[in-house]
Amino acid sequence: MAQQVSMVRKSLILSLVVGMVVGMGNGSVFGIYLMANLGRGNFAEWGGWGWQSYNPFGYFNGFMTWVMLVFGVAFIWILLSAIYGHDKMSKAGVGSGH
Amino acid sequence: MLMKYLFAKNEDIPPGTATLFFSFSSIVWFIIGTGLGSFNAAKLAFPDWVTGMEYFAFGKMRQVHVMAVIFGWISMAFAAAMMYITPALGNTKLWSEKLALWSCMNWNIGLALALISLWMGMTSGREYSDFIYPFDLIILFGVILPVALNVWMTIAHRRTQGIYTTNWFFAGSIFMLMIVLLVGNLPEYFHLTGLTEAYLTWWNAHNILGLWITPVAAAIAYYTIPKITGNPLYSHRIGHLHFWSIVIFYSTPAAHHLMSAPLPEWLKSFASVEGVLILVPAIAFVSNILLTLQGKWNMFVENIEVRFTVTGVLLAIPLNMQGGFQQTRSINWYIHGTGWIVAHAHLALLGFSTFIEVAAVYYGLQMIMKRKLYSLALANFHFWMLLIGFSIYWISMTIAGLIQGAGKIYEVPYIDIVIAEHPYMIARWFGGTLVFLGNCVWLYNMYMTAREGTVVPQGRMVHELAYER
Repeated sequence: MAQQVSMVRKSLILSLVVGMVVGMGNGSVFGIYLMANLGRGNFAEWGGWGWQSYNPFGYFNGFMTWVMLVFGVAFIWILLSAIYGHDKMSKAGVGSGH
Repeated sequence: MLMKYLFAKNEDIPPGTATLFFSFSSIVWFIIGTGLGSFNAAKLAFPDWVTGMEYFAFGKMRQVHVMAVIFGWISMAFAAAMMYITPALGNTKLWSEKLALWSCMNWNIGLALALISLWMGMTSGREYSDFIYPFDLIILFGVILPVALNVWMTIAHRRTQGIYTTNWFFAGSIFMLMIVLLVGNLPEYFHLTGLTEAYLTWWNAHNILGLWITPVAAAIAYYTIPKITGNPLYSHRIGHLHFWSIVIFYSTPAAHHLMSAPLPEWLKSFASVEGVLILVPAIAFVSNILLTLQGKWNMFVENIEVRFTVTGVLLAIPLNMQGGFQQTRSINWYIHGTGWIVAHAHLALLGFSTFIEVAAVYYGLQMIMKRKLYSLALANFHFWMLLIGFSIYWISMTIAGLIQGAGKIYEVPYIDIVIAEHPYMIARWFGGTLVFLGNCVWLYNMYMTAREGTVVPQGRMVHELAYER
């Protein structure tokens, strides 16, 4: 019976947490590279689209936080897609594959 | 029991005894190290927490936390894995179980004395090599050299034709660690100062991570994933590429820790390019392990050791993306000297390497004791405490670092930054405390496994019985 439960369902919470952290890590690099390079010259006014990069009256860190969140969601999708693919392979009886 | 075996004949000591002592020692040091981390984080989150006592000042306690985690938890878990995996892969016994036990005892006593001296204020003042030089020499010749001898001689006496990737890494990394400790502490032996001291300090710090912690953790994953899943390693050649690219690219970028220092510009540029090339071994490692898992991804959910290891391997992706690029000049300008770096260091030590080592200790202890885990539920609880605690810590510190970076560029008054950081400091303390509490549960679970774990029948492997718990 346990065999019938899809791997995606079984790994959902794990994939959400691990995928989010891994994605946010990659997003932190992309975001800061973009910010540090685009920000050159007129940096004080540039914090990315929508928010400043620093707001002394609040705790939200603007553009960088958005980039990290978007990358986090993207990596969850990548991880779940990969697990879905492996689940299909396993059910089709494709062994270790190498 | 330790005293009994220390003076016994080598043949009379049961195989795996050293792994047993190293494993339990590493768990205890992990609790001490993360407990100190939680205590220190509380001082940043709640400024009135334990004040006015010199020995509990943040400056003293932080050094003790870092060195307890690196030389207590991480390195001792490595030694446990080496004492178990090296002979297993060579189809032989450990060269000298007695030497390994003496190493374990020296390690525990030497490290305890070194940390107490550090706590009392005796320090070189150099990050990651904070111990005064007599303790550096004790660790090098009384602890690392005997462990290295055991690894090398066990490999030399192996009963297999080739040397598997994991043993290549073990033998090479412990040799490189000895060179790093010997050369990296030169400023203390010869009283070098100024830029030379700064450069050697960071050469030492960078290479303890790059030539010891990163490759040995990877080597453990090269063993546990094929062993537990039953799949052969996807590619030995990629494993060799990983090893040699670490030797070439990871040994040279020390100057990227000092991008704002008056070092020669060519040296900083060279170090920065080499730093990006760290992605070569990183991609080789991650792809090799994930491809080895083909057809066995269900174990990512169902097997506790595989889940720990794969989580560690996945965390290696952002670790190396950050590590490769955060030292380039434009990003370093922004995040140097901020909490981002603290988050990155914890991604390496508490994320990537710790998750892989925890799996090795779980697996090694069960195999040596020939007992199934006392409680899989407690092991799952430990996993989630570690993962959620680490995630809260890492995310809060990364964002706190970005606020500090912005504040640095905008020249915001320091006190405003301190106020803005406060909620993140509380989150950091909370995350770290979850890790500490999870580790206490882990020690209980392993202690109970030793006392009451179901005995694994002769001829069966622990992971074969994973679903029969």
